Amino acid sequence: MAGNEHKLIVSGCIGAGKTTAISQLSKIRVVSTEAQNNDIQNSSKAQTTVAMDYGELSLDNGDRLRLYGTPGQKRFDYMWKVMAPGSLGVILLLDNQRKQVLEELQEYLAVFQSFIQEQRMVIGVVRSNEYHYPSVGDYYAYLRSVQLQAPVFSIDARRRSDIVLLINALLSQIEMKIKLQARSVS
Amino acid sequence: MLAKTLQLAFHGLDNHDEVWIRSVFNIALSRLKHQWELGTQERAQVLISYPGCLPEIKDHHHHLLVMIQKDDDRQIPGTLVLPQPLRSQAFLQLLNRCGDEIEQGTSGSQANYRDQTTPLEASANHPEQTAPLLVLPPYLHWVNVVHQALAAQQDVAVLVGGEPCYVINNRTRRIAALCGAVSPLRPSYLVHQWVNYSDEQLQQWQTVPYQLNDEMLRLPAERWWSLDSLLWHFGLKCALQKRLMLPPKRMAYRLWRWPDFGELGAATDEPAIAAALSAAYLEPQEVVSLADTELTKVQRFLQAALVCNYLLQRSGVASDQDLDELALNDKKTESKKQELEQEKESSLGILGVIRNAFNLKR
Ligand SMILES: Nc1nc2c(ncn2[C@@H]2O[C@H](COP(=O)(O)OP(=O)(O)O)[C@@H](O)[C@H]2O)c(=O)[nH]1
Ligand SMILES: [Mg+2]
Repeated sequence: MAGNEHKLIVSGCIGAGKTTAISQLSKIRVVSTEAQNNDIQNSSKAQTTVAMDYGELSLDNGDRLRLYGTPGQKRFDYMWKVMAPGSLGVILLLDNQRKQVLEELQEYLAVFQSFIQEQRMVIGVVRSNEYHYPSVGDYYAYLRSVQLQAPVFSIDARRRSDIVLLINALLSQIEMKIKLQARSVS
Repeated sequence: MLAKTLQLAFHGLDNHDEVWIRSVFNIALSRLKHQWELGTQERAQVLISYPGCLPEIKDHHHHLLVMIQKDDDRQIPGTLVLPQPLRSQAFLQLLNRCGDEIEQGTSGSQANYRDQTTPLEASANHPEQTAPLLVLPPYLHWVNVVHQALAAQQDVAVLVGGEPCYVINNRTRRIAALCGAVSPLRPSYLVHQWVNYSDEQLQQWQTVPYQLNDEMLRLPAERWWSLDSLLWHFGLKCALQKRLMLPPKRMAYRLWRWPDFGELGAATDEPAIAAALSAAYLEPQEVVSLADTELTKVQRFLQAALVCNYLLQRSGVASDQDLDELALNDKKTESKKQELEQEKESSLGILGVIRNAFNLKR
């Protein structure tokens, strides 16, 4: 029986750990399409895959969970438009090493607006143990100033439990929304 | 004209409101238009109380009277209103206004206020812009002041026995210990120490503005711990010791930010509790049913969140309104309701299967 398919998107800038994160979860070997990194000066990676990652898991009921990694910047949003419809949610990875990380967040929020408004986005900040600023509190202050709400966690994308935490928070939010909606009409 | 120091006093306030006012007052002193201090009821120009206490107040014509009351309660003629729930902005505006009135000499007679029927603009109109305010018991007064100072972008020191013992860098929200140990203390040890102080001892702690010097800034990164993480664990420990912090009144709570579970690690039920509390104002019991957990866990979570200043609170049972906001707009027929119920079950079912794949089954 061919089951249903569910999609999860992992986004973020180059070097934020998208490929690493998807590799932690995928039961198949992650497929990465490569493109030239023309953002070397801003990234800790010499060479990198910037186009897309793909991983998947099969679920107990025969369904399949597809994991897509995609850069979140505006210039990539053609890819995003292909992948977004029907996605469960977005895991956004931010790299605290990047000087303009708050400005980048602003750009992502514009791109992923519908997801964040539907409580289908979680944010993982990497390398915050080495780069203390912005603090998680600063990210929240920023979100609050633009009247948006999303969970923000400092994580290490190389730790599977941290990626699972992001998924847990994402699922918890979606579940809660469904429950509250059902309650309010009953 | 030489500026004269104005005095503020309270009458009959409950502990929570008094602590709230004292902490906001102390931290905002320098931002007020006039010079203020806390004074005695006999000498103060401004007296804050509740409408119910009015009969007990002697000589109330000597004071500018400020009544803490709900927005929709009837205003008592000749008084000013400080709306409940208390908000710092409304409070500070009110003090500035009182100061202006007194300075202009209009406060000598209460008559000037008799015609004045419009309450001060409540900052409830723009609540999301202001930092949320918390209500902590007196032994956590120093924590209250830490939050107020951080909101004002101020580095601080916490004085223990009059000496700076902890310094907090507002930019990184990290705290370093200057006293008590030759080698760096472990954060868990510090939390353990804190909870072993009595309420009376903790009540002596003071938070003051502080200039971090080079020596402190040069402390190695591992000496600077996350303030949020320390306060979270401190809040949990206090809750375990049954040191009560949540007001006994029925309150609805909402999280304006999640705890950083990446740093703290999350216990099984905590993401669900956080998700419930960030979706709507909820009473603890509602959280229990939505997050499918136990009341003690919700209470512990709330207390830790309160200490960290992650909570918004509202008196009474007010969550229906929020739930309405989440409701679908069109009118639902019975069959439509059933359909929705089925949809809900199937959506939750799929999410459960995905949980399974990551061993997140609850
Ligand atoms: N320090 C640190 N390094 C990380 C983290 N996540 C990923 N990395 C490393 O950063 C590099 C880039 O990761 P990658 O997954 O390829 O990033 P991508 O460009 O977003 O796909 C790799 O060398 C990872 O090992 C993290 O959380 N902390
Ligand atoms: Mg990659």
